[in-house]
Order: sequence, then C-alpha cells, then structure tokens
Amino acid sequence: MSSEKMSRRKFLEKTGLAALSGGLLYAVGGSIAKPKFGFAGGQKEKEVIKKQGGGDVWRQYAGTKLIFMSENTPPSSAIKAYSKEFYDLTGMEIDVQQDVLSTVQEKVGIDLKGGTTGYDLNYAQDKPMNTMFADYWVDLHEFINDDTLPQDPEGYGQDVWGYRWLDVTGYFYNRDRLVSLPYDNAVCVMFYRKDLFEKYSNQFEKEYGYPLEYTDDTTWKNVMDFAKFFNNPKIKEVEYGIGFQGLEGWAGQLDFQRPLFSHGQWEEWSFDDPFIGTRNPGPCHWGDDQSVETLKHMQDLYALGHPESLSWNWSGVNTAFQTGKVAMCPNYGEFAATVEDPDQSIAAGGKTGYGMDPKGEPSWIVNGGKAVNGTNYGIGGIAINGNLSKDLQRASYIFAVWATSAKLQKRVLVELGGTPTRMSVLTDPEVVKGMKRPTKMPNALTYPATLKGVIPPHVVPGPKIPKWNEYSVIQCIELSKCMAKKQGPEETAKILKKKLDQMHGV
Amino acid sequence: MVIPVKILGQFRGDNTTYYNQQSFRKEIALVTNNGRELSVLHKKKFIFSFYGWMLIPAVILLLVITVYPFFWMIVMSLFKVAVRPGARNEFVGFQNYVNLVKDHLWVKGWGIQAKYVSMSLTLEFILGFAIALFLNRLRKGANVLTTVFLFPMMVAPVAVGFLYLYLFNASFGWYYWVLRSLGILKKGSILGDLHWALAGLVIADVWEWTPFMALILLAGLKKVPLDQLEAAKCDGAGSIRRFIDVVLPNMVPIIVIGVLIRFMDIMRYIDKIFVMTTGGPAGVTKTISYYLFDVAFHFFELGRGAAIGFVLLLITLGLAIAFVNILKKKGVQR
Amino acid sequence: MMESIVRKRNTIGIIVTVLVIIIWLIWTLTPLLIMALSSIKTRREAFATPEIGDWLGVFNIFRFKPTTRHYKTLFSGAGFATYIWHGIVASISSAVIAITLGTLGAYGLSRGKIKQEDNLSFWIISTRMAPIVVVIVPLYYIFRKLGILQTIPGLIIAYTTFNLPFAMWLIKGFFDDVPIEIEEAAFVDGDTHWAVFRKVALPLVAPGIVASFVLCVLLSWNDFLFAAIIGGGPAKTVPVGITELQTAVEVRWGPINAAIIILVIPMIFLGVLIRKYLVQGLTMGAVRE
Repeated sequence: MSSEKMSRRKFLEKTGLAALSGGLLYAVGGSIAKPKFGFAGGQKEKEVIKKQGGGDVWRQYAGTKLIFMSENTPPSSAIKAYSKEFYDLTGMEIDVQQDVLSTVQEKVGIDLKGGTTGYDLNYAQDKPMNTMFADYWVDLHEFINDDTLPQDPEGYGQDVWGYRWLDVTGYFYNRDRLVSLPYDNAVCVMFYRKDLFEKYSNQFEKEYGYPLEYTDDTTWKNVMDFAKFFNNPKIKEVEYGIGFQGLEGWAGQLDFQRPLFSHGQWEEWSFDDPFIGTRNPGPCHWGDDQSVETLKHMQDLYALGHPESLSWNWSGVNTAFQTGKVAMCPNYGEFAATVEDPDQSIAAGGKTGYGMDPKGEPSWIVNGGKAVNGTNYGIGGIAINGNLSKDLQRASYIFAVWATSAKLQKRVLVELGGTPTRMSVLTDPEVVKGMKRPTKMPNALTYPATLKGVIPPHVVPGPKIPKWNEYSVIQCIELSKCMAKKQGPEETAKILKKKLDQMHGV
Repeated sequence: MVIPVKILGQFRGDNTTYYNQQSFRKEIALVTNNGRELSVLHKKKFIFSFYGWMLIPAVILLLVITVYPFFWMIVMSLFKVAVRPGARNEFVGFQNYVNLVKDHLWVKGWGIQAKYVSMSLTLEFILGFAIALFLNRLRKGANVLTTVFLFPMMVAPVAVGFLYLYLFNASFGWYYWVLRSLGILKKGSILGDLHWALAGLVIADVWEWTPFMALILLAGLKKVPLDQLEAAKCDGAGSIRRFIDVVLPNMVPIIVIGVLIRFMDIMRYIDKIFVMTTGGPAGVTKTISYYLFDVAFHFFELGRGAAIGFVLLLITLGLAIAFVNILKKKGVQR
Repeated sequence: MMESIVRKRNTIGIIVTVLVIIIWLIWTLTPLLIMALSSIKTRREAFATPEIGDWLGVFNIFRFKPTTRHYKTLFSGAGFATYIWHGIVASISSAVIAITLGTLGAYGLSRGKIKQEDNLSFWIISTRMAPIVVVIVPLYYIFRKLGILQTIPGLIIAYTTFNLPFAMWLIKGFFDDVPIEIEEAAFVDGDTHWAVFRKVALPLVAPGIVASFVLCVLLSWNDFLFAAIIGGGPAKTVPVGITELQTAVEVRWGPINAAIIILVIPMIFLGVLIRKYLVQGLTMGAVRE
C-alpha cells in the first residue's frame, strides 16, 4: 500500500522534472525577476502617432488610445460619460475601465510590477495603492514644467488643492518625485439624525444633564452617551445609537484610527512629516500608556455600537443609517448623496446633519497631548504607468490634466455628485450656496465639516509606509478582537507591538 | 454483428450484471488472453499506437498550460519579489517557507481552513446522502424534484455569496430576521459575529453544493446491485445492516468521486469569502486560500504567496491521495 | 395517492419522506424566490423587513409595486447583454475544446496500455488542484506576451486550464466502465481503431459526455477569479459584472438581485434541457481510482 503511494509521488515528480528544461526555468526567471522600469513600450501594440508640429498642444497625440484603470466611483463614471468631449478636445480615445478597489489593486499591481503596459493611467488611492506602487509611476515634475504640454491655468501648487492633498497622494517618502495629481476625495465626517436629536433633546437633557446636540466640540465620551441613550429599546425610530465600519482592511484601519488620534494625537509611528511618510518608520508606539488607555475606552464605545459594525465598510454602515438601524455613523462625504435620496433612505429630506468627527475626551488623555477632532480620509489621484514610452507618458499626462481640471471637477460635482479636490471648486460661490439646504448638491452639505477637519491639528493623513496593506490587516484583526472583547487592551497593544515591529524587522 | 448488439442491449437496460460472458469468450478465446494486457487492439507500442495519438494532443495542451504555472510557483517561492523597479528579485532559498511557521496568520489560516472544510463536507455528505435516500424512494416525480433540487448548484459561487450576504444582513436580511425572531440569535449579527461568521459561510456552501453530492450519491445508489440486496434480505438482514454491508461498500467508488471533487473545489475557491466577509471579522474566516489571496494581491509579496500556494497544493494532494487509498481498501472491487 | 408515489407501504415512512422533501424544497428555493422578488422592488421596499418577532409581517414581502427598473439599469447602463454574450461564447467554446480533446485523451488513456496509467490519471486531475491565485499570475504574464489578455480567446484558454483535466478525468472513468471485450469483438470483425472508437465506444459513453459538457459549461459560466484578472475590460463576464455593482459608494442591491436572476436562468434552462442526460450520465460513470 505504501509503496503504491510512494510510486504515485515519485511519478509526479519524475514527470514534472522530465518535462522541465533549463530553458523553461530561465524563461520563468527572466520574465519575472526583472521588472523593467522605463521600458520603451515594445510590448504595446498600439500605434502612438508622433508629436504633430505646430498648433494645438492638446491635439499633439491625436489618434492615440489610452486606458484608465479606475475604481468604480462616481467621478470615474462621470469621466466615462464625458469621454466624447475628451475625444473632441484632443483626438484621443479614453477607455475608462472600472472595477472594485481590490481588483484594481490586483490588476494594476501585476501590470506595474511585471513591467508591462496594460494600463496607461491608474487610479492612485493614497494608502492602499500609492504606498506600494509610488516608485513604479512616472515623476510628473518634468511634465508640469514642460511648455509643450497643456497645463492647467491654476497650476499645481499646494494651495490649489485641499490642504496638502498634493503631498498626500503625490509625494511618497521624499519630495523628489511627484507621482499623482489629486482627483477625488473622501473625507470622514459624522452623519447624525438631527431630527431625532431635536425630538429627544428634553428627555436626554433630563437624563444626562447637558443638551442633546452635535457640535464641533462633541467628544467621544458625549458620543458614548448618545449611543447609550439611543440604544434604549423605547426609542423605536432607530435600533442602535451608532454604527462603525470595522471591516478588515481600509475601512477598519481608518475607523479605528479616528478615536486613537483624537486622544493626544497618538499615532502608531512617529513621522518627520506624516503627509510624506517614510519607508521604514522603526519601532511602533503600541503598548505605551496612551494607546492602552484609549483602547480601554474604545472597547466600551464599540460595545455600544451596532453588533454588525465589525463586518461593515462604508457602504454597509451607510445602509444601516439609510434604513434607520443607527442614529449616527462616521462616514465619508460622498455618501451624503445616497443618504439624501428619498428613494433609498428614510433619513432623507433634512433629517440628517453632518458634523466634524468627535473630539478627544480630555480626561482620557494621559500623554499630555491635545484633544482634537481626529479626521482622516482617502485622497485618490491619477498616476501614469512608468513602463510606458515617453510619448505615451506625455499623452497620458494630457488626460490627467483634463481629468483634474477645475471646470471638469465642478461639472462632475454639480451633475453627478462628485468629490472635487481643487480649492477653487470647493470655494466656488455656487458650491458654497449648495452647502446649505435646500441644495442640489447633497455632497456639499458635508463640506463645512470637511474643510474644518482636513487641517491640523485634526487631520491624520497616514501612516504612509510601504507595508501599509499588511499593517492594516494585522491591526484590524487584533483591534477587532479587542472590540469584540475577546482580548484585553494591554494584551492587544502588546501583540500589535510585537507583530508590527516584526513586520518591519526591528 | 450479432453478438455485440445483444451485449449492447443487455448493457444499456440492465442494472445488475453486464453481459453473458460465455458465448462471447468462446469466439475470441484465440485472440485474447487475460482481457486487457494482450488485447488484439494493442498491436503497436503505445506511443505510436492509435491510443497514443489520441492522448497526445490533450497531454500537450495540459502540459503547456499547467506545467509553466507550476514551475513558476516553485521558482517564485524561492525569491523575494522586488519592491522597487529596477531592483532584482532577491534569491532567498527556503526562507519564505521557514517564515511561514512563524507567521501567525498562516498557522491560524490552516485551522480555519480545516474547520471550514470539515464542517462543510460533513454536512454536505450527510444531508446529500439523506436527500439521495429519500429521492430514491420516490416512484413518481423524482426526476422533476431532482432538477429543482439542483438549482443551487447552477448559481455562481460569487452570486451565492451575494445571495447570503443579502439574506444575513442585519439591516434588511430575511434570514437574519428569522433567526432573531426565533430567538436563536440574540441582539447580534451573523457575518459580523466572531462565532457566526464561519457558520454563515458554511451554510452558504452547504446550500450551494449539497445538491451536487445528492446527485452523485443518488447515481451511486441506483448502481447498487439489486441481487446483492435481495440476497441480504433473504439472509434476514435488517435495513440498517443491509445499508452498512451492501449499499455502502458498493458505493465507495462514487463516494470517492463526489468527495474528491468537492474537496478540490472547496480548497481552491474563495469567491464566497471574498464577497461575504473578506476574511473578517477579526480574521475568523481567513482560510489559508484567502490568506494566500491577501498576501499575493494585497501585499503583493508574490514570493511569499508562491510558498503558501505550494504548501497548499502539496497538502491538498496528500489528503486526496490518502483519502482515495483509505477508501479503496474498504470498497468492493468489481 | 401517497402509496403510489412512494415505494414502501409504510405510513410513517411516507410521511417522513414527504416532510423531508418539502422541507428541503423550501430550503432550496427560498433564497432564489427572495432574490427574484427583490429584483422587482425598489430599494426601500426590498429593505423593508418587518420588526423582529412580527411573524405576520412576513407577508410584507408581497406588498410592493413591481418595477423593472433594475433590469433596465443592467441592460442599458452596465451593458449586461454583452457580458451574457461573452459568458456564453467563452464557456461553450472552452467546454467544446475540453470535451473534444478530453474525450480523445480519455479514450487513449483508458484503452492504451501504459505502465503508469493510474499515476498519469491522477496527475491529470491534480493539475486542477493548484490554488487559483497562484496559477493566475504566471498565466497573466504569458497571456500578456501573447496579447490575449482581456480577450475572449484568452478567457477560453483560461477556462480550459480547469475544464480539460476535469473532462479527461471524468470521461476516462466512463470509458473504463465499458468492457474492452466489446471493442475487441468489433475490431476482430474488421473495424479500424477509429471506427471502433466512433461506432462502439463513443455511443456508449454519450450520456456521460453530455453530462461532462454541461458541468464544464457550468463551471466556466460561473467562474469569477479568472474572468476578473485575465478577462475584464472588453471581455467581461456576468460574475465580474455583478461584483462591479458593488461600487465604492454603495452596494447596488437592486441591480445585483436582478443580475443574479439573469445569471441563474440560462444554467437552469440548460439543466432542465439536459436533465435526462445529466442523471443518466452520472449514473453510468462509476469506478475509477
């Protein structure tokens, strides 16, 4: 019996080895081991018409076909809808391909790392993608200063965009290379049922001794009181006070970061410049007094939240808010559009208010730091595949300029509910008018809170490290266990310190 | 061709023996010896024989499309993939494999994989057998019912994932509502709960694939030789005894096929996990195949991923071989 | 009437059998029915589950105004008609290739006199055990070099990587079941090898081949990972299209429910059509190691 078993294994091995020739191994090694950077587009079958002399800088690459690999967000759907205009302007065809973020990550990663040129332009999501792929994208500095290419009239300086959003999505680990231009933003604010706050304000004040209102100074402790109050089964309009988004990955990483940062501006690592990040941040701060203290209170906080929170991301918690399962939730600005849509949401029609993320509770701060409204976000950009030929890079740059222009961003916001990144759009009079009800741009309702939250001392843009993906998985798993009361705060902090330091090899 | 027609007729319709060998044997006793080894059909050496030519196209295509990935996997697992362009992949030998042992998520992933696979396969087997037995007792309508029962198998795994994501959702899921209303689930969530999440996945898998098991087992039931059953009944054996001594041994080959196919697929597919839980919450549904997906496509550490994949392949193969061998011992050889 | 349905004339047995069948029927069909109903409701109606414990509220599920807007969205905006077409073409083509080469190969394997036949057979099916994730990356690079990424031919080849071994393994079993003596008789009578194959062996395993074909089409039509990474773009299939409906901003449940119904119906149709051969085919196949 066992000899029969052995012969099977042996046969498998023999067959395999027999079939393999040295050349096969070389072929394998050759194609994978040397990702080519700056490889002059030999694999691309598309014809790039050489620069046409004289005249329109926009039309110099007419006839080219570009592929933009993007997440399926409203702005990219809008660009897809406007692709005819792009063709009229430049004579170039743009093929906007959309996918779920993780699929985008996979395809873009295989493309970039393998030295291939399947996608000319990539959607550059600041933390999940740029931290890994920044080195594989073209440095836009040379194109920005190139007169032979169309440039945006506003320029690309820091103040043109939201606060340091150019750094967040464009500069990684140093200021030498600019890898993407900001294209959309998702800033976290607090969604809350203003109508219920007004309805129960007397009752709440009787029980808790202070008014039931949500302001810029509302702390995480106040939020706990609100949650406790609304969890009361006698209040029938909602089932729970608050919902979170603890889904493993980006949603959870951002969600847990907010209360952590609010208390003493605590971060996992110290950065010289958190907006730029660093390749190896060294040992992490998990296990210090503040981290353990914050975790203790977070446990109580999450215990009050909707039990499904640990498996929700932004759309999961959004659905809960829309269907009246929760009275409050921290979520990203672009969801205002769906919340204000009466076809989908019972929280539409003026029932919802938008405020800054909660402030840290001073009595929970033990490291002497400040109590801030910990705000975080995802700023997406457009980046250009570094494996392309120079001409294709330039052609792609023309698209990037067009897609991030102020005119287009405003149109997308007004017509489809986009998320503009240019200050000129965010401060445009029409948009400012839209920030108050009644409004035709529901997303704009969140901008007052957004604009206050994205500047220091409230904002936490990082951590921008190359191993961000692995860090977010490890951290979410351990913190979820802690929030589910499967693990104590000290133990969690210890485990995280060990694992994250192991990940960085310190 | 008188003899073959008679044989064919007997073969098609009958459920018991295949054909009457006597008259047939006499005819070709001159040419055949033991049956297969020296068959008249095997005139030339295999490679150049008719059969060789039949086999070669398939094998070549298989070699081309499967051998290259196999060797890519092995070679890649010995490297650490470059993180910056222009840098070469770093040869690290067996370091990736050694690191796996220290990797807590990898170790835990195997535990979860074992739980998931064993729970799903056991339930699918038991329920599938029960359904097959009950279907076998029906005289009318068995065919129609079988077709209807097969519907879940026709739904793509991704779609089943969305189906159960919808049904288990705490905000609007009907199964969630039923479980809460019955009091089985108290104030909680299914896919967000550390204990229920894996159960939710198992439920979805059982719904989708039990019909497949039932179909295979039903086919096996129909092949149990009636004469053996009759003989056992005459000997006075009760139905349970008959089941253990006659039915099961005769069904061993088909059980092997069914379980093997399910086992292969459940080790490979991550569609449902990808849609329903993405490995969470707190990593309780992060089976080893999902962890592989994470490492390869989210962390982009292809070397480490190849190592995980190779170990996964070896263990899958090993378990499959062991399973087949164990059951071969217990089966009835025809 | 009950007695004519069930073989044994045992009242308890009858009741138990019918009960079990009914329960299983409910368990099987409920998810599909809920999806079908939800696909013709607006989102708010679809999400309106009753209060916990309000059992009478179950009938809410029937209280709605039917709308076809989700189906319209799929076919106008998301281009689902194209995805369906891609799926049909790719899965049928791949199944045809797999069955053709697989049948020939299986016959050669089954009838041929090879020393290591069992091992070769096991190697063939073991190629299908490799983790999909690890297989996809090298295939991606090969397809890239060949220029067949995001094309239908690329999908077809990708599907064949798992269809071919599966078909060969299954059909070899069917051939093994046909006693070689029948073929020997035909051969002795003067038929060539090919004629023996075509006239004698093939008709006998025909139901099994049909069953295998249906299974291959099913597996290809339902595949997600290969279609997502190696397909996509101009070669998107329905499973990929469904995941696309999970946008960054919301999970579009209305179109997703409609899409699932669309995804399932062709396969159910196929199953009903081929039902006879499916059961017969699998009943024929049996012994193999």
